[in-house]
Amino acid sequence: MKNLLKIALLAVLTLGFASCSDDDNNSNNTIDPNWVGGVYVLSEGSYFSKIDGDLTSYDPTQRYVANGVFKAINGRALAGTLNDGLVYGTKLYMTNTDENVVEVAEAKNAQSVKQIELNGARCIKADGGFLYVTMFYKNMVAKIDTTNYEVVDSVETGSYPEGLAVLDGKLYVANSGYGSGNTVTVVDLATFTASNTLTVPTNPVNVLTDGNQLYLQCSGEYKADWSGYEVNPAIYSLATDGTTTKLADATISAMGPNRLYFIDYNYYKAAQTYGFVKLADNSVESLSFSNQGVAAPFAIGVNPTNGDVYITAYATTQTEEGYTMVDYYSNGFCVRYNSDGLQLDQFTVGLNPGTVIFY
Amino acid sequence: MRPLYPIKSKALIVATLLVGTSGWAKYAPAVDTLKSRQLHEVTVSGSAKQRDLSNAAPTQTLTARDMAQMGVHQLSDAVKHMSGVTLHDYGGAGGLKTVSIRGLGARFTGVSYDGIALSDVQTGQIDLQRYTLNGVQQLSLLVGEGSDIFISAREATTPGMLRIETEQTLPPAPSLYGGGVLPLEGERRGGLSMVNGQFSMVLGSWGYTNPTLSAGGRWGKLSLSAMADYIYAENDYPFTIYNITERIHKRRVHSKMNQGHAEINASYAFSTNHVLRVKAYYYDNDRDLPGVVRYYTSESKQQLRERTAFGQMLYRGRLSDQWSLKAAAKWNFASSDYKDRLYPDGVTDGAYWQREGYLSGAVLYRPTESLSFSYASDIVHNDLNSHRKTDIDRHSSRLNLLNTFSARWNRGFLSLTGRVLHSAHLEHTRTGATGQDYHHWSPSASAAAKLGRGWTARLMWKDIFRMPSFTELYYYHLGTQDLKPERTTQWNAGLTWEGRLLPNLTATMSSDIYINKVKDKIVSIPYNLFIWRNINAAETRIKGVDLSLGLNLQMAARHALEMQSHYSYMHAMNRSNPYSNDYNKQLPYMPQHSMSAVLTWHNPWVNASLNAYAVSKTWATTSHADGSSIGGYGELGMTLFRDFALKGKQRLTASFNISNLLNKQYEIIAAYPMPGRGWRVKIDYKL
Repeated sequence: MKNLLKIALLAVLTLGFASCSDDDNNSNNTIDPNWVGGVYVLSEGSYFSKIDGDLTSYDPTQRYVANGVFKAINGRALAGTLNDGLVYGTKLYMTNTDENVVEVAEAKNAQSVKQIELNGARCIKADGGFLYVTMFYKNMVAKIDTTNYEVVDSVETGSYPEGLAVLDGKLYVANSGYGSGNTVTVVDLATFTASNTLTVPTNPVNVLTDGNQLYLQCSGEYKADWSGYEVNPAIYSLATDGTTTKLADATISAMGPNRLYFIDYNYYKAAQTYGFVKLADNSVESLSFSNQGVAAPFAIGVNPTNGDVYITAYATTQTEEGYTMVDYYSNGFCVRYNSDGLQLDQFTVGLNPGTVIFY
Repeated sequence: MRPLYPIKSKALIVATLLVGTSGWAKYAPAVDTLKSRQLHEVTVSGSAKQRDLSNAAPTQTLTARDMAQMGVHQLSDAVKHMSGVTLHDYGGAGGLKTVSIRGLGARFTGVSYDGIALSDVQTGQIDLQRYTLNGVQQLSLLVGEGSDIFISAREATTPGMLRIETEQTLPPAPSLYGGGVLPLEGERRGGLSMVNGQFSMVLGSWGYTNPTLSAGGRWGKLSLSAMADYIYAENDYPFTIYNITERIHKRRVHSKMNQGHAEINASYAFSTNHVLRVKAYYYDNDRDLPGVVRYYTSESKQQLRERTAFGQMLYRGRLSDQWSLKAAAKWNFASSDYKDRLYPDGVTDGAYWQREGYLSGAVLYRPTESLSFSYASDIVHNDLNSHRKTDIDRHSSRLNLLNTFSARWNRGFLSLTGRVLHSAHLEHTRTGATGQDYHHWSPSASAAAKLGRGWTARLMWKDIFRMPSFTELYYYHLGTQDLKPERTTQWNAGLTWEGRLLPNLTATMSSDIYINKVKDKIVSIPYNLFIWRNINAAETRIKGVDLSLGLNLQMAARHALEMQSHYSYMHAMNRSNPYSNDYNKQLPYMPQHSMSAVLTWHNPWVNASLNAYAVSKTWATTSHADGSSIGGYGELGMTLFRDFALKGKQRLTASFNISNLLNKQYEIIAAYPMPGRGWRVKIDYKL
């Protein structure tokens, strides 16, 4: 029986590999046994369509790609919705908002280690041996000890907390208010109490830092009849006293070495724009990617060691009339560029690829 | 088959003829001479069934007794045994249940309750879960445009109509909308005063409790009745899901339901040719929704309260041999209040209130035996206001003006009908952008030919459309005001046969092939979590075959075996965009194959029936994405049923039913598991 199970798993694994037979990729259907580091793309999945979220494993040097890695290794689904993830130490942590869990796996092979129950686990950061996870429906941040995976403390935030960042012993939490929030909660990590609340532009969804300065991604505010934006989505610089300065219109952003990359994929605008903020002086430069980037970008990730930019996207199709239709039920893809915007690779990932993790 | 109990009153003869003779058959076998003679006295009940097979539109009927013998306790179970119907069921007693006729989708399915169409302008579809079978006398499904031209204009606006007929404690009234060109048959002979009452109790698995009480009487020309029923259901049924290889056994939680329903009916027969019927109706349902099933958590905090109240009035009169008249009026109020306590600050909560005013008039003119004309005019006014944190309340309304003219010619073996419907829809909102006004001419035609020896051939064509629902136009973050209506064209060709295969074996059979096309189909395009857009982008083409076979074997006196079976093949293709990977793929949630069969053994002791239902696999997504397939399933049920004649005209009926006998785990909607094996007991006492 066990053998049968193994064979089944192997079959699933092979299928996973087979499905990523991509474009110019040299995947040879085996995991490199000497794999020491790489990239995970975490896909959210789509619960209502019965499509599970999962991990895509990518080796940038060998250009190996494996999809559905977690399912194949562990024989169970990550399910959905996988909202965020990171590698800390030797472990990979993934938050699953709808399953109320934080999944812990070995970073090197995605072998499941532990499932930590946590209501509405949304966004995650790690610092000083602890994980900090926003609890979307509870207006809290939980503190989890990475030595025993226990929730050791929690602190109240504003409503619908999303992304968070750690800088100089403080945790900054974006309170989205489900679209209507305008605060960032500052938590003192030493005492794990809220020490300040900063007032910021509407709908903050993420706080980013390079270790020196803070930046804020806001998703803007829709008009009451949903016919457009009252306030455009944008990135801001954020001072520790709460002062914000708008840097650029942007819907998606990610921190990289010396640069904060952004895409403005605004539904109400004719074309999307790509660019980055130079962290040295907060000046904004536009950047052109090979083939004008992707049609329907989902997320960005930047390799902290070499600055390669990974842009994930929905699959798209063209209509007879030439319109681009986004395909919300098919696997997405990820394009890897160098820091000059030159395309280096492209590979298939899962559905709704929301997080790129480097380890 | 003869009745099993002593007949003590005229009312019972009527009831027996109505429900008993052909068992639960949808396509009634030819009546034998004995029955024909009796039917003369109560003409109404017999004629409706005989029309079925010779109707130009496929028509299927289930009577109360049919359903009792099949062990059907809810509408959604009953429609499973009608061909060409796809049921969408979120599971359990409180789960949303809608039907789609021949792949057209639930929003294209009309549902009428005692002769007047039900509507929901918010969602555009009718939840069958709301209507209990207590008091329902007959359920019939008509596809397309039939031979009956004397219908309201509104009834002509749908590609298919499910008719629910109640009035159980009243003596059978002439079917006001089903009467066709037949003159009103007089069966109301005033002067007889009678009072009757009924109490029934249904108990079932997972805390299902459903008492019903009704009482009625007739005083000369006036009949009055009242009924009330209540349902409590815990709905905590166990289910099994597989997380890849891991088997998970859980129970549904947070799925309690409380439902109450009451109505008062009155009818007044001015004379045998003029009848007025009035109904007051109230429905209240408060339930917890269990939500989608997840692997690692069972948390759900969604709640829904729905209320409906309406009053309706129907008049039908026969003025002369040539002229008949119908008039109807209705006022309806419905509210829906959704809360999700998982989300702080009620950000996803929404409350909707809708009202409808309805006036209808129809006239039938029959200058000669073979020719008749009908003109009907309806005015429907709908309005909806709402409270939802993320939407502005536009307080939208729609005025529908419907006029239809139809003609029917029949001579000898052939009958031809033609109809043209003009619809005008005027949109209004108090704030914000308004949807587009629309008017349209919709033609339809049908023909039926009796070929002799029990054979009938039929042809039908209908062109019809559906206005966008208010949700599609105005709500959920981004309704789209420039939406056009969805347009459908239906073609049907069929052949039916009824007759006797052996001296003691009668059979009915029908086979239809059809093509349906939907143009400008509305699809929702999500942009992100917050923004949805509706566009007229899709086109579908559905080709299908519906086959039915009924057999009735009289084995001995008071012993009969009856079998009814259906098979449907449906090729429902997405034809929207040749470049997309949805193209030419089967539509989501539409099975290619479905079948049902019921075998009943009528005997003097305990009637027993076995029913089977099966559908092939479906897809949850348009692109048939990996992992989004939903396996086909088969379900088997069993029912025991018996009547007891008590003192006087008192009668007791007891039934016992086991559903999903083999305890198969399946789901119809992705991540909404259906219940496994369950039982129900029903005791029904009639006074």
